[in-house]
Amino acid sequence: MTQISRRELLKLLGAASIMGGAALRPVYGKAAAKVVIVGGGIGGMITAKYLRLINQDVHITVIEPDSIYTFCPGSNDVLVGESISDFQRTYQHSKDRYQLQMIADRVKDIDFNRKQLKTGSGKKIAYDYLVLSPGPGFVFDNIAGWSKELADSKILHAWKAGKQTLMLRDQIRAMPQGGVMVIAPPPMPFRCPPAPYERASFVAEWMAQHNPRGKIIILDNNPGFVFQKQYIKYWKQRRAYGTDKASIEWISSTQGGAVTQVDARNMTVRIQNGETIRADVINLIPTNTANRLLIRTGLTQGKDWAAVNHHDMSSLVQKDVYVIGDSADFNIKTGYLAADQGKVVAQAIHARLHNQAPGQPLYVNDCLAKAGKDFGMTLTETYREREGKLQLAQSIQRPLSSEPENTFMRHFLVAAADNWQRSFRRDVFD
Amino acid sequence: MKRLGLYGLLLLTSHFVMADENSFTGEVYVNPEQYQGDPPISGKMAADTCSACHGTQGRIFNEIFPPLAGLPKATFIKMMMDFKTGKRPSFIMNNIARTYTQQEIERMADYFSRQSAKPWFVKSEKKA
Repeated sequence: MTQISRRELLKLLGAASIMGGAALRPVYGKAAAKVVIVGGGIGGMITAKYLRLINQDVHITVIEPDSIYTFCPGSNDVLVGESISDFQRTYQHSKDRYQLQMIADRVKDIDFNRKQLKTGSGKKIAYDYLVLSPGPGFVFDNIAGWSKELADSKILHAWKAGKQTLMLRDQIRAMPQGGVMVIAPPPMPFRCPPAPYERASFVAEWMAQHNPRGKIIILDNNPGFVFQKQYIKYWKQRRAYGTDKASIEWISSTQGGAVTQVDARNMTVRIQNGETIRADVINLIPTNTANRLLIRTGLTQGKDWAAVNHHDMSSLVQKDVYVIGDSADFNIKTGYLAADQGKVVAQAIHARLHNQAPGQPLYVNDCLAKAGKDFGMTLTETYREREGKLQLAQSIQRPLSSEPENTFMRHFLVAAADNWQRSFRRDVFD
Repeated sequence: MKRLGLYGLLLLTSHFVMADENSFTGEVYVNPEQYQGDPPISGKMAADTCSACHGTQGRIFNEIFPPLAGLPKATFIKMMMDFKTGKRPSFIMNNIARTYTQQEIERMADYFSRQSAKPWFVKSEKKA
């Protein structure tokens, strides 16, 4: 009979129990490594789950100050009436099922030499491997008259789903008939490139019913955007785009659309071409950078993003540190990619714990977006890695402009987008 | 023919070009067989890129996305190769299948065939 140690047996039982859906009971050895994950969003939670699925002999700690997570994918639907609770999760289930230690706190500082974190409440937390997935940092002071305080109260961004999503929804609902909403996308790259245009498109659809003379003006820091051809085509069909009856107008950076100044009292914005625009709702999306924690601890080396080796998303600055999601230097920033990066990191840490080299990674960004309740779109994107650097291997949007109108496809892709969001939330949290 | 010509051109131009904002309006396609000499991507690594839609281990499914877990190897390979060549039309899968090499598809097939066909932890969405 084959000898099997108690620990191995328990491990096997642990692996078996996951098939049945019960909690996964780790069996920690004396030397079990400590993996600490900062950020309980898509990147952080997928790393925790996917690491536990392949390794029951590791301590996994997640540090996240909020007790409820609100998914950004789908949150534009909340602006036009969906219930926000559909997009929210608590951490209890993940904590129990994947045996995570959840710490409700904020990380204040990192001592890379001692491999120790200091939290806001003064706790010290040691790590063997550190995964940083804290979301983006926001810059407010490059628009005159704007500040974090204003961004939290009146001139909202709603670029981290949750409280602000509901506040912006209420502002949209309170607009007078014939009112104007300004949406100002920041310069690329920023979290979820199609989202400002999706937001504009959804609100315009809502206005057609509730505020038919209302108008959206997109004041852009960019000369173009993802799904541009598809959105413009749809807006021409549905929103009289390009005519004087248009309910959506887009002023690109080439036309001087970037917002330079905001006056919150008089509710006006000034844009690069010198024009001043009055609006009832001003939704400025701040320039994104790496999270301030990464800037403060030197991981960005004075640049906007944390430099990583794309082979395993490890920091190029500090040992045993991984950076994923919006803060990492990665051409595009989406939840889909943050999840892929988390899976890559989980496998890389697992390999290292077994004295193996991390395997070859693969990152895909198969995004589904909507222009309205009857128009879905898809982007298929693949990044491969060679010598630590990314190569864009595929980027294709559908419907292709050469494709004939296909009403069924348009509707199908809306259903696909909604179902993707549902599966994705479960992939991250169940 | 026209289509092949376009992709051929993209293949030449995009191979050495890093992703930038051009990818927002333009189309990029590199024949994945070009990467055949690279270190192999494991079946699990490739299969994990499916899970956002098809669920963890291919075991979460809904009205649109079918399960992949437990599919016989040959079934998965035939399906993906038919998506890849366009023999089987799909709004989403044709483009996705074209991004993987045949060997990667075979390794994914192997991975999914070894997963339990039971749905992933049947539990309705837990709301806050």
